[in-house]
Amino acid sequence: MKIRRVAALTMAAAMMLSVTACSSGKQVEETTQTTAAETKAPESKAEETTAAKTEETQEAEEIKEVVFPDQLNNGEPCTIRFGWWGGQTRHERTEEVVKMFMEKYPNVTVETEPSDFNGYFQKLPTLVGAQDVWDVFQLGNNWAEYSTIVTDLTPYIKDNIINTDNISDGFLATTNDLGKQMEISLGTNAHCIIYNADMLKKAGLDEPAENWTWKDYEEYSEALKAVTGEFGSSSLEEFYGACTVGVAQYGEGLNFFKADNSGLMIEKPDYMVPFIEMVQRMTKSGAYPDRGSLNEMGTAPEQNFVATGEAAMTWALSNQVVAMAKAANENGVGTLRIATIPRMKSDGPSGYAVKSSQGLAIYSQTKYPEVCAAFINYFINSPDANKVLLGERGVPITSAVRASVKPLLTDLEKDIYAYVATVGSWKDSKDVFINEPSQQNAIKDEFKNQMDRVNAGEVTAQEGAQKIFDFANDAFTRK
Amino acid sequence: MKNQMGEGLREKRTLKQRLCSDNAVGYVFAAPFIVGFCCLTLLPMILSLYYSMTNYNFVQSSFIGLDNYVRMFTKDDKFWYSVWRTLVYVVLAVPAKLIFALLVAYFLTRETRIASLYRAIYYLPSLVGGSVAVALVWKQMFARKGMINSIIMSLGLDRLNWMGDKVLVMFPLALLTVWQFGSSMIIFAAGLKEIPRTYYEAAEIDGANAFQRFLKITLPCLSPVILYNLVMQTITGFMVFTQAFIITQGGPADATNFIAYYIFKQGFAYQDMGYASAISWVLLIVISIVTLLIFKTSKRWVFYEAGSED
Amino acid sequence: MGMHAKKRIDKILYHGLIGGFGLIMIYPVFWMIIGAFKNNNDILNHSASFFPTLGWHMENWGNGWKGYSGVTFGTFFKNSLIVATVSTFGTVISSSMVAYALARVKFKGRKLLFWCMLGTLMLPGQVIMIPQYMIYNFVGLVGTYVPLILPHFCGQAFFIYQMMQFCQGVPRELDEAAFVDGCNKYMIYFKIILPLLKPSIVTTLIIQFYWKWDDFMGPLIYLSKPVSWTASVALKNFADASGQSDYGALFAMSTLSLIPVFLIFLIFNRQLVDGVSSTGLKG
Repeated sequence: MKIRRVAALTMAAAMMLSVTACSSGKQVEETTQTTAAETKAPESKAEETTAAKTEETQEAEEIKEVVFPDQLNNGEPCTIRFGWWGGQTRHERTEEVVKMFMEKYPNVTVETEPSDFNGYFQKLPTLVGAQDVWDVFQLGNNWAEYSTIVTDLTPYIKDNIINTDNISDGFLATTNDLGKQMEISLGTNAHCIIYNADMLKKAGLDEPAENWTWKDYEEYSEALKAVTGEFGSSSLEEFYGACTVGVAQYGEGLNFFKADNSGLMIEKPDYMVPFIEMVQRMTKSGAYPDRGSLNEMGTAPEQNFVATGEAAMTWALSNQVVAMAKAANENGVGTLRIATIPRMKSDGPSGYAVKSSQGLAIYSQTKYPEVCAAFINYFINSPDANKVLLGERGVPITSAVRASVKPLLTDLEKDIYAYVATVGSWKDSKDVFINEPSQQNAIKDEFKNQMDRVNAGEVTAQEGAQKIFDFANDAFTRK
Repeated sequence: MKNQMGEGLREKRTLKQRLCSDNAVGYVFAAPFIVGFCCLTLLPMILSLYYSMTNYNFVQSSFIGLDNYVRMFTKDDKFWYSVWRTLVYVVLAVPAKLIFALLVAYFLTRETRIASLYRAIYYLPSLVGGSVAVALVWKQMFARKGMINSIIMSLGLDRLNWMGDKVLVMFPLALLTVWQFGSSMIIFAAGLKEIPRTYYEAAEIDGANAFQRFLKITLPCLSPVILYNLVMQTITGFMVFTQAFIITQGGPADATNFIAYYIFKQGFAYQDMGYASAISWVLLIVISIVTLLIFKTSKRWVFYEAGSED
Repeated sequence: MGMHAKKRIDKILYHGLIGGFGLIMIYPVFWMIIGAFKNNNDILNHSASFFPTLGWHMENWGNGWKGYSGVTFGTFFKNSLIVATVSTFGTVISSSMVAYALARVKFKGRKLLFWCMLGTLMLPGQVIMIPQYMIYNFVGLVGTYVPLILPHFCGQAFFIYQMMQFCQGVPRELDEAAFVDGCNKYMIYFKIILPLLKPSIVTTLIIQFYWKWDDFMGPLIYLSKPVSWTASVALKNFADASGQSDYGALFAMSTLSLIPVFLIFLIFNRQLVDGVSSTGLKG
């Protein structure tokens, strides 16, 4: 720890020297990047880069052609309903793919039922309650709530109705819960830090190393406060930071929730305390926005303080980067880049893994499970379909689609693809449970409540953590 | 049940007479509501009462007796806090909205072109609803460097953290409610139209000034409509949801976690429909009590011209 | 002269105050309308300025109008118009009938009915939504406009109670006089109550039409295919909370969506003016 700090200080000194020495901005950037690379723990660096490389070469090699069946349901007419959430672009592209599917299989009618995110998750529970759910429907990472109404897709994968030849096991695992394949992911993403490279440079800070720590993050935030004139850091995913990602970062083999969603895996609240205290310190010093400012900011990526130049770093999901960068560019606040989520210890685990941003699941009471499976197969594998979809739902999970989409990507999007691949290749990611129990939403809200109370000075971080811990345990004992 | 009259008497009455009896007329005219209530509302209400005694989560439910109610009354601090915050909101927003609506209706219900233009202007905000646009403007107005804070700072005071403070956050939300006062205003306007000119003319001859006329004629004649608006706005006030949903998401520190929002969260975000139903029924009882209290006090200040015998 | 000046000052004060305050009231609405010419970033991050800072974006209107899946906003507005008009018609007819019964006819169980009616307003819609869906699903009406419209033919508590209060203002002597003239209680409803409830009916028209036009939950739950969507549901799809949003198009179509409800208000607004034309029936 101590050594790390000394290194950081010398680095900063070297940086200042280089800034004064070099007149060309480009050179400065090169220097910072090399120093950043040097701060990585040598063994992990080697491991990760090779892992990323093999992943890339595999992609190039392993594309297998997928053959689609000539007819479905023995050519007899059938109708399936398909529901998803999204905005205008997604609606248009998805409808077009559905049309293509129906042209290929004229006996199958797919009734489309698009909706927006909030509406979708008000309608879905209603349909579940009335036992009238869409045959094929979109789900996010929150499948635990719906695990009982979803068909296990494993048999369909085995029978090759859903072809997964071009999907690596790691990506398939993002939607596998204790051996049950809940859905097939349509797009993946990963937690990341989005930072304003120009502002970091102005503050004399290095580009963050892959294994940077929360301590670094806090120091960065304090330093960046002066550059932005407002906050150093914009919103953090406080709950993930303290709980799901945070606990895994201790490297004690623990996760916040148990793998089978039956309760908390941690036995004392202390694990949450350092992160809560950090947020408390940063809020107090003004390096991090308080709840009022966060509320004012909202959740749309374009609204983030990083996009408006009022902050230089934020926790985000990799699929939000493009919208945020576009707004930042329009506002002329600087260049946005992605970095990893800071760790607890620089030689400790990352604590997070690639997530499925959304996938397609099949309703357990559908009359035509095989037609539904074939539809999903077409959706994820058809080159024609994916020429229309263009990876709009996140990084596609089949290597074939990734390869076909790649030439169309911007540099930033390529960075995102590379980033997701990097996160996917981390060995410690396998120790991270990606499950989100149905109790999580309530616990998340209680976390937010206690975080506010800690910031208001009503309770200490330790007391707040204890309250969250008790609340969570209570939520699990209820049912 | 319908008829307690003697059999003999009943037989003597013709069909036409029977159809014109108060009971028959009442049931015929109330039929739409009775049929709708029984077919579309009663069953769902009973089911929700049943759900409140289960742990229904959309997929399955098992009967757990009064556990949900026990949990609500003994263990759930969030619920009690949410009841308290809802009460604060109702007390803050409802009277303000009604007074504002009444004043606008009173001053702008005139037969001049300019008055009807003003009325249209004042009504327009009520037509934008709880939309994204409203949420954005409202947040901007009460932002750190927003319009309201600039005014405060120009007076030499410190800017206020409207959205981050538990006490202050009520004001932006209550103000949004007041801003959309249109429906109450229209109903007041209709009520004002019903007050005969002659009353005012007579009072004017007696030498009453405008304020006295408002106090002695307008208010009493309008009292049934005032009662109506008070009851309805109180009920809808307790049901406040949109404001919390679009602007604060219940924060900061649960300060705007209003009951209806909490019910929505329990039901749809936490998948605990059983508990959400239980809270709903407690909410129903709370609102009924408040409504009943309003009705009881209304006997002292509401004047029914037609002399209601209830 | 002095009198004249005072009157003028009064007038300036009146217009300055009411007009000035009106401008504050209406500012957010105009902000939304101007927002229809801004892009996302401008709307979200430069909300303090009224006029666009990042250029005028006319394409919002085209992007908005084209709707989803080949269904334009023309269809959505048409659907909204059908649902709102029929529902409003139903509300006026049924609510006035029920109000007449509850306010004027002394039949057994009317107090119970009155409280049942108020009770329907006191339970959050979310907890009875699922059983209601089940009922409509059972009779196969999900996906049609029936679940959206039918309840309005069964009386709406908000308006029943309103009409009841206005019924109280109609003198009972009128009923009695009509009764002596040979009108039965059915005819009294048509001949006396309905005409004299006009102001109340007008308010019901204005408010119910807007509520139905703005209603989101019902159409969301019961309508699925974009062809059948109402404008309120279609609008929500512009701002998807999971990431993709087109606020410019949202504001453009929201602005268009204001027009019908505002027109309804303007048309019926005149009926509510407190003029000499007042019938003065209480006198």
